[in-house]
Amino acid sequence: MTRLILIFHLIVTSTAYVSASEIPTDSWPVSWSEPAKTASELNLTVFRQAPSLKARVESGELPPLAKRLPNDPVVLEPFDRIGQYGGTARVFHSDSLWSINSTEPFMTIDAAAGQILPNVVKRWEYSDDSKVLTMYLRRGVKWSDGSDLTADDFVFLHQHMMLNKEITPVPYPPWRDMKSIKLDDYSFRFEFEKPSPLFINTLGQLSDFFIIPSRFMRQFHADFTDREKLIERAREAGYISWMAYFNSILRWQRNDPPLAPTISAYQLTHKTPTTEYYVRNPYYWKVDTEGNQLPYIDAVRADIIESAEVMAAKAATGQVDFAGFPTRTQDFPLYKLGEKSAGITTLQWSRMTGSDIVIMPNFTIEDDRLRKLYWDSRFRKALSLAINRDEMNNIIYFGRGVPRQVTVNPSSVYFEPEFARAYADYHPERARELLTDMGVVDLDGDGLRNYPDGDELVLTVEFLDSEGPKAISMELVIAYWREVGLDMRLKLVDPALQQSRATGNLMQMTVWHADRTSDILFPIEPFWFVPMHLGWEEAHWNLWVTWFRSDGEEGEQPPDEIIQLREWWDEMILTPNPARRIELGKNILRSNAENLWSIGTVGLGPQPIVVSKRLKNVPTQGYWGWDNRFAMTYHPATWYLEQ
Amino acid sequence: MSEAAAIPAELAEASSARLTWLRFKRHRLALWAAGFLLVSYIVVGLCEFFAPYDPNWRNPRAIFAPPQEIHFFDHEGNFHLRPFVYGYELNINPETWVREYTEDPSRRYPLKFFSVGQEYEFWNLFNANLHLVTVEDGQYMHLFGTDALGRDIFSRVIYGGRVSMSLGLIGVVLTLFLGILFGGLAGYLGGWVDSLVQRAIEVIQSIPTLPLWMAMSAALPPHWSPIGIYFGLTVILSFIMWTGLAREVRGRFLAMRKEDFVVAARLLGASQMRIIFKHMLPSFTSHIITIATLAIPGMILAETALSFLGIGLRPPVVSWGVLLQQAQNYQVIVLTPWLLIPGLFVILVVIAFNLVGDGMRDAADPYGGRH
Amino acid sequence: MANYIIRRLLTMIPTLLVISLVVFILIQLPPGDIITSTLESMRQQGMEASDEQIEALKAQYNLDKSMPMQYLHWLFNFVQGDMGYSIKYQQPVNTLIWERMGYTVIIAIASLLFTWALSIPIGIYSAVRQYGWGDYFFTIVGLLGLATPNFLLALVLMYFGYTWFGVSVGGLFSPELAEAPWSWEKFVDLLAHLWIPMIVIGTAGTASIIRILRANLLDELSKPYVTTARAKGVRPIKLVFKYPVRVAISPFISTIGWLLPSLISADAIVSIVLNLPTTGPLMLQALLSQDMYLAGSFLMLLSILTVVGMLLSDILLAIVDPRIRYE
Repeated sequence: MTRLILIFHLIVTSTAYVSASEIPTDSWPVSWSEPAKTASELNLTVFRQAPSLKARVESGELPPLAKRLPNDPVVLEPFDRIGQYGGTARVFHSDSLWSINSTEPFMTIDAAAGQILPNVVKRWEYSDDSKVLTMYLRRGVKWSDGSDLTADDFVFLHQHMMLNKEITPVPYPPWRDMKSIKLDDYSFRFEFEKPSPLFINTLGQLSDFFIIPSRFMRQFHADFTDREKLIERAREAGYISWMAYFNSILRWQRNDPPLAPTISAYQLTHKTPTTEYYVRNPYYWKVDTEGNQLPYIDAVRADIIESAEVMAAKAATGQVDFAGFPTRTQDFPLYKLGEKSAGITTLQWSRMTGSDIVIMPNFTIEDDRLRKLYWDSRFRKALSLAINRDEMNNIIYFGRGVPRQVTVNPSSVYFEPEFARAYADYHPERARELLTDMGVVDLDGDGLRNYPDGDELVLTVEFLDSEGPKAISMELVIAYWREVGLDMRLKLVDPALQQSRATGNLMQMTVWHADRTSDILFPIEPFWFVPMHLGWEEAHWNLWVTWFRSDGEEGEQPPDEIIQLREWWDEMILTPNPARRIELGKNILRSNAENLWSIGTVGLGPQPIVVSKRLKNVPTQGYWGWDNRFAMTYHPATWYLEQ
Repeated sequence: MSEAAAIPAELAEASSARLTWLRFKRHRLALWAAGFLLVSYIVVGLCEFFAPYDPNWRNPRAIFAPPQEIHFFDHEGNFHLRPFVYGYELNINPETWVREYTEDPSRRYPLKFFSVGQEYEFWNLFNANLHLVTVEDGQYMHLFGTDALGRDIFSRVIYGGRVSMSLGLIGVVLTLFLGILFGGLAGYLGGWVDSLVQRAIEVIQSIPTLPLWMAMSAALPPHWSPIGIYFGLTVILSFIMWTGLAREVRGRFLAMRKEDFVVAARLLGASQMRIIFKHMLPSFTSHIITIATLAIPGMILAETALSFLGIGLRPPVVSWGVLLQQAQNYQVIVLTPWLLIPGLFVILVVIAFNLVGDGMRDAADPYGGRH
Repeated sequence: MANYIIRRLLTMIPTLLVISLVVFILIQLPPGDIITSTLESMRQQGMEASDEQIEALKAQYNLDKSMPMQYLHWLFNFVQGDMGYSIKYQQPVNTLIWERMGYTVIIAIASLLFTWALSIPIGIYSAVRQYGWGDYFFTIVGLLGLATPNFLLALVLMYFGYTWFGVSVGGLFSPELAEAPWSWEKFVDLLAHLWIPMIVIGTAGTASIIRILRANLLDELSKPYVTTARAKGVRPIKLVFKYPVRVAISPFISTIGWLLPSLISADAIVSIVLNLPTTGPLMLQALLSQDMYLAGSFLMLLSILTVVGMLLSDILLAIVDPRIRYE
């Protein structure tokens, strides 16, 4: 008996420290951590293109390569070696925008996911008061339809979408309170009301479709075309409004053209119910270190699959070339088995989550009794202390995650070890005491605690089960809570329902994964720690967020602690002084460690990345998460298929 | 083939129930199946006693552990009168990440029969701790292995059986009630009642069953207690299943209205109720029972289907559908197939019900037994 | 004959109307459906500007009108072929459904043929050899198909289909051929993928058909003309196939009608497991996201399909057996 426990503990302790949370920077080419060099800096003068493009040039369909590349293309160093052209890569549709075909933001992020690097915006300057951000573009970059990329495409988002009342009914900061000014074709400027030294983080991480092919999109925007005719066209195409039509074209939500052109490596051509088809962008503006125009791979085919099991099966049997988004930590053994039978490689990347589970009680739920319960910090501490994180780590993560409270990643400048340790130990007895202290005791003898007034206390946790092991984690968590006498139920919801119920303030409690815990996103999007966001990730404190956003006109006035929290953050994003910023960031995180506004379980876990044998140049290690846009920083355009 | 000659004296005087039983006995498979079902219902009825563990109890030392073998001989070859299992030794293979369990010969866990084990609340009535088979405190026994959270599949199969098999039974009682009520009314009264019921049956039967179930169970309020959802599901299943039975009952009534014994009863001044319940119903009870028997497996399967789709019963309720929902995982088939054991029981029980139903149909059939 | 068909067509109308009412009530049942929560979500985020959008959404679903009017609008649009707009997919429901309906029908028909091919010989055999070991064996084989939960069988077959035959997992075509124009190669590829859903769905219905055929045939075999024929020394095989089987099989035609709903049900489950582009997964998605209008349209459409299936089988039956027409 004792021996068994001993063996068990040995395994636990020996693996607990083998977490891949910190990746040495020499795991990647040095150039991936620096601003990308250009051809002229590397004295590259001869450029080559894919054979499939050469044929199209010869037939006169495309202009020659020299006319398509910018004067001074960006040079990307491949992870391993110079690749071969050709082939069609197979991925899942949920991976299509995060892996091989990652999109191009204003700026980009380094491989270690700590700093902002130039991208299409090659240089930027802040004014001394951080109120004016001037940006300079690379010259000669072209959209996939051959038109020029200009400053118009960068101010369009702000001027005609963020400030357009029809597309964005309720403009939100910082976009609401700024101006965008085109200086010339290759430079433009954002002017903020308040200092915004961290706005480059937003631009570096911006999700897709934020650089707008303005010339193309104008024909679908009511400001630039005949409104009546546009609405008529939208109706005919089956959309309820011109905005819906506009968005579906811009965001590639349609099955067939018109689809907006892109500056990314691949362009969506069409979709069927089962598949998305992408082809290479002949105008892509990056080359490898020998002057070969990227990407190497000709086309991408993305299977649209809803069933998680079919995806697991396909990944494990080598039927896709890359899988990272839908792969599940628990399925590691399955993928490892595939290494033998299906010739795949299963890489262990590191999940960029401060905690894979962030549990958020809804402080502004309609139900007053529930609010009172949630607002009592003893209740939240009891919830946290009842969770056996070590056991979760062993059961779900093979002991390779890090049991911790939700807070920033250890590599962050805002990190303190005590933030991660706060109430993260397993103390069911203490949890029971806290609940009993509050008067939440079992009054009817059914083994489950009641409200102090004697009513049944039943809570429903609703969440969307994607990205990370949420369902199995929460099954364990409610089992732990039941052990201290709390009756909680789980309800898995669909994405559409998560979106509408979370933002609709209808969920009693929800769960997301605590990404945004790196230095890129924590300062600008501290979702789990400060009321500043409405979205499907949260049903946490919506009415407070509305109150802050509307300057106290709508929503509900939060308690003083929360106002303090928000004041810290408001100052944090304004201050140009890094030391002060760190101090304020730590205040926010300390507040969470003391009050547990959000509760975490296990973070920094392993993420299985399944790569087919023929796909080359994929780094063996990497950070996987929203903060660095999944595979974006590992330059999928340099991956190639061995022919 | 000559029948008169073949009938022994005792059969000539046997009651109709006895005749049915004798005919039923000839379907050997049906007989076995009936025995199997009887045993199953006893086991799930007393599942607290038969299951060694609470279905939601977790053994953190055994995650995805394979079934333990029952031994009589230990590793040195010594015979033990009391069977035993070996404790697991766990090793997470650093190459394959697979949890590999091996028997640890130094830890022999003898099985104890009719012995004290985990405490339970029997039928929510009283506390007890007697189990059919268990092991010493601190030891463990997982005859069907464990799942992702270390829960004992053997116990979960038994507890899940209670939910699934009773759901079928309760559902069928409801189905019978609805079917006989509406079928009887339509068949006996005829006229516009008949047309109304006929149309209703037609409508319900024209909607594809599963989508209708799906839509209806999606409409069950999520905040209902597990028991509420359980009964809600039962009602939903019966709501669709009664139509087949009602059709049958109606047909029989229609045919029988003109039979001599019914006419005679009516002429003798028997009340309608009396005619229906005393004279008409008993004459085709065996048919009703047959149909009911064949409806139960449909309900059990429907429960698994709805749970699989995530709109049936939900944990912490343990039903076969819930168990299979957790097992319907590609990794399970490849690496931990013992999680599919609940499926085996679904198959066995469904087949058994069908065989019993077949046997009863043959037995109730006046033409049966010719060959 | 024409009279009979017209009569049947006319009785279909009230049936469909009642079905539509049932479906509409179902749409209204669930609390917290997507429209309600979308409205709530807009209200939370919105101040002045989104009022317009809320009104637009309400008008779209006629939420500002009374319940009976909502029903009539929905029904009227449905009859006109406008099934509404899916909030989740941001696309008209029509587009979503029609691109999937074809495969639903193909799979249903293939499964039906498979069911017959399997159950007719077994049914005949079990009737002729009642209570023999062969009868028991085939009965159990038939029941196995019925008893194995479809999703489980589909998952297991998917695994073996890949490990034994190298069939690509999920879908109806190999990815390479999905876009190709129809060709012999593509047809063969379809068959290579079709057998899994065909077996899973087909076996589920086999047992009941075996049972019917066996019972019909047993009835028929006990009739005097069979005894006479046997007495006259007709060979056993010929004896069974000459008349009894023919007579026993005729009720089969009526099974088309009631098999269809169960085929569609099974198809939904199997398609979800195997990721087939049929209507099933879409309907489940609609239900899970509580996009009730979409789900309702699906239910209505599948019901119509079933009613038409029943009509067809009745007509076939009337052709085969003229007595029915005058009933």
